[in-house]
Amino acid sequence: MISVSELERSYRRSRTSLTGPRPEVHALRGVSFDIERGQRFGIVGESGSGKSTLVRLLAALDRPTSGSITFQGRRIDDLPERRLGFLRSQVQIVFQDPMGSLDPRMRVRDIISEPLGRRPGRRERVRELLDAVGLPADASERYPHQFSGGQRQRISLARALAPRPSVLLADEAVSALDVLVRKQILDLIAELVERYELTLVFVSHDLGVVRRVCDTVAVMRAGEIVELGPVDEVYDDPKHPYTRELIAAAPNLAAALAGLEEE
Amino acid sequence: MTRNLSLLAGVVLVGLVVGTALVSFGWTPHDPLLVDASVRLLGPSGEFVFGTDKLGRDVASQLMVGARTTLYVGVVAVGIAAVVGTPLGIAAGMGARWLGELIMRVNDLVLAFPALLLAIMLGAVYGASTLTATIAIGIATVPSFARIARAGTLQVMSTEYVLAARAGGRSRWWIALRHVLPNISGLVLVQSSVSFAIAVLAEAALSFLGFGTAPPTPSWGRMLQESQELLAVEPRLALIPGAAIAVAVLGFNLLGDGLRDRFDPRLEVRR
Amino acid sequence: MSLLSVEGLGIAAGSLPLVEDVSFTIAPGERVGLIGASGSGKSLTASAVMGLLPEGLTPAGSVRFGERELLGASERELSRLRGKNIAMVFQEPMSALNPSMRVGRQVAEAMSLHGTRDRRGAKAAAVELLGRVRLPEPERTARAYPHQLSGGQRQRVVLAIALANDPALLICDEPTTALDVTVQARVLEVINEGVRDHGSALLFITHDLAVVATMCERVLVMNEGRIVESGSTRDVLGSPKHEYTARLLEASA
Ligand SMILES: Nc1ncnc2c1ncn2[C@@H]1O[C@H](COP(=O)(O)OP(=O)(O)O)[C@@H](O)[C@H]1O
Ligand SMILES: Nc1ncnc2c1ncn2[C@@H]1O[C@H](COP(=O)(O)OP(=O)(O)O)[C@@H](O)[C@H]1O
Ligand SMILES: [Mg+2]
Ligand SMILES: [Mg+2]
Repeated sequence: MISVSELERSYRRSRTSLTGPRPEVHALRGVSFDIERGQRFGIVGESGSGKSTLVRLLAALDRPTSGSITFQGRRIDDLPERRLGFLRSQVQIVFQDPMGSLDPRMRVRDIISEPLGRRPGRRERVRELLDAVGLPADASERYPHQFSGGQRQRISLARALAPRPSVLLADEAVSALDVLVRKQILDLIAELVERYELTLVFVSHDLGVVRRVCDTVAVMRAGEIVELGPVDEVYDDPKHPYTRELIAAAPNLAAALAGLEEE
Repeated sequence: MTRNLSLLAGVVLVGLVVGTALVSFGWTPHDPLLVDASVRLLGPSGEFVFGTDKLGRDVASQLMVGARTTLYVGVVAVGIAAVVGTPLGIAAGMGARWLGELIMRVNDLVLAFPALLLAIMLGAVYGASTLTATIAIGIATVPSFARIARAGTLQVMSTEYVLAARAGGRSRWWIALRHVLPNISGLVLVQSSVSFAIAVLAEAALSFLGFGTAPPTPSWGRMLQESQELLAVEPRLALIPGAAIAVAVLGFNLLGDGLRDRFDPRLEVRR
Repeated sequence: MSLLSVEGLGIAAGSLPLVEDVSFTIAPGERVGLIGASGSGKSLTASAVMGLLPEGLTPAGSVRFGERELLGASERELSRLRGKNIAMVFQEPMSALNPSMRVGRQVAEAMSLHGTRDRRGAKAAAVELLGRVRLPEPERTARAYPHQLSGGQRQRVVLAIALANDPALLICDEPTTALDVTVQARVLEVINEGVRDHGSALLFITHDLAVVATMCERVLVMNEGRIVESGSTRDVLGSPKHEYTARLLEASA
């Protein structure tokens, strides 16, 4: 479905001194992987490891410095915007910030129907989508600030599903939510992926969260993938020291409670 | 609390100027242009509230009609600046890098060119009038709108809802009209109010120097100019239009401050 | 003798109650967790203890710190306590720091403000404190501005400021929610050491049960403005009595 090869992306920072070259940040340094249709592909790593950069490249919202990305066998990394039409309905994104990812001046119905253009039957589609993400039909006339963080992520999900995509990219989609809401949204994502037979790319800094929705995981550090494999295998038997560090750092309720019992 | 206060004070002062101008269309105590040598340089009285000038014209009536000139200049100059500057700023923020650079360099050039000089040049070619002064002020104000619009556009373009719109296949035009423009409208409104105050002051200055409103049309700047020779004997003739200018400038500045506090999300109370 | 005792605390916005009948105590050196979903009233409770409720919200009941009643105390009296006897760490470290002042000076000012140290001593002590919260190269970090530091480093600076005067009570309101797991682990360790070395009591607010289980010996569970369950961490999280606590646990597993 998606195939990434030797992907690199560097950013030029603004000058720190008058003389000398502008420093470069290598956000991605040679990333390669394949994602099969229907796969639920997780990407973990701490902030700054290049996860969001990778997501933007997969959605063709940015161009790599070098390397290639193919989508259903077609190269997308060097296509001009006007020839990306086929991808625009196929690949959709949900972001982390429940407030920043919805235009505060648009009504929910306009937000959700935005990717639909002038297609007929928009209203019915909006109603259908609100129902699919578990929001009441009267939500469509309201504005984003009238919703809680979890509800806003539902609105983002509805917008992403509107053009009937085949791939859903989720960039830290539950990281800003508290435990109860996080569980609801994770369950919803899993359900939607199942129902609409989506291929999922799910990004998080928390391996525990990735484990709940993904079957495969890539561990990123400083722009490189250091480990890639089935999620349970990586979690139960990490090969790379950095993966071990990530697992150890994640607060673990069972372990903490076990620790308390012993006292 | 203070933010609402400055908004309120701004609305009251601006309302005073606008109200005066509106009333002057239907009624003024006297004909503001009527020259009458028998009533020259009278002090304030029941009949002439602010007295008369050296030609015997009623100062209060001139002041009222002058408010019209002031508002006309403000509205037209700010209108020109906003209508030209805002799209330029959006284009600079959304377009290719070279386009943005080009627009901002030209912008700097205009900014470095004094409005006064522009007004003198326009006046020399077309004859000094309220209109030439207004156009000069309008052109000189374009850069402030372009700048604020560009800053706002860059911020909106970095949001995730714009990324989502792009991922949904939306064109640049759509993003500019549906996302950028509505979200920078608050900034533009604030800039309008502040620029209005500057325009009012600039018109007064240009008229004072003789490059703006020509006689006999009443304008606060011209009243100030005509009071000059009698400053020592009749300071009243300078103080009254001076106070009117101060009220209008203060009013629009306070309005701008009040609006800024309402629209600037960084100052929003944390919940 | 309890250090902090909150009794029948209520907070209302006009006629709308946001927090109701909240009572708890914290003994000197004790570490208490306050957990609950977002919007349950945790931050408001902490703000009421600090006397920092937003305008328009009115508290009722009693908040005693040692012998002193804090509700209704004068702003002067409160500001003498704040930062010295009671210190607070917020979720968003950037908003707690002055963007235009070097972080070393901010830590030093926290000390000289309350007369804990004179100006010269404060400067040296600030560097030492920055080292104690495990910031790399404390002398250099002291000269940095907040925007030059990462989120986790900023939060450690905030913590250094909070610990500057050996507060008897440290309140942390979701101090690691904005941070990555790896960074979170390091910051939690630093908080742990900090309160231990300074002998401070801790009120730790979070929605993460695993975090509270590693940090606190006692927990209070808050839901819709009320405390629905409290007790030792082991009892509450090991065998929850309240349905809401059970749901939190299930979602966290
Ligand atoms: N637009 C940009 N300009 C400059 N540097 C950037 C930009 N976007 C990301 N970076 C840098 O690239 C690196 C990777 O960032 P990012 O992909 O956002 O990581 P993550 O999503 O894993 O936190 C970071 O060092 C970041 O500072
Ligand atoms: N200044 C305020 N005015 C009115 N309501 C408020 C204010 N601050 C918070 N609230 C409301 O009080 C409730 C509790 O808020 P808070 O203490 O911040 O929750 P928590 O910290 O547990 O997430 C929320 O429903 C919130 O909307
Ligand atoms: Mg990211
Ligand atoms: Mg809170």
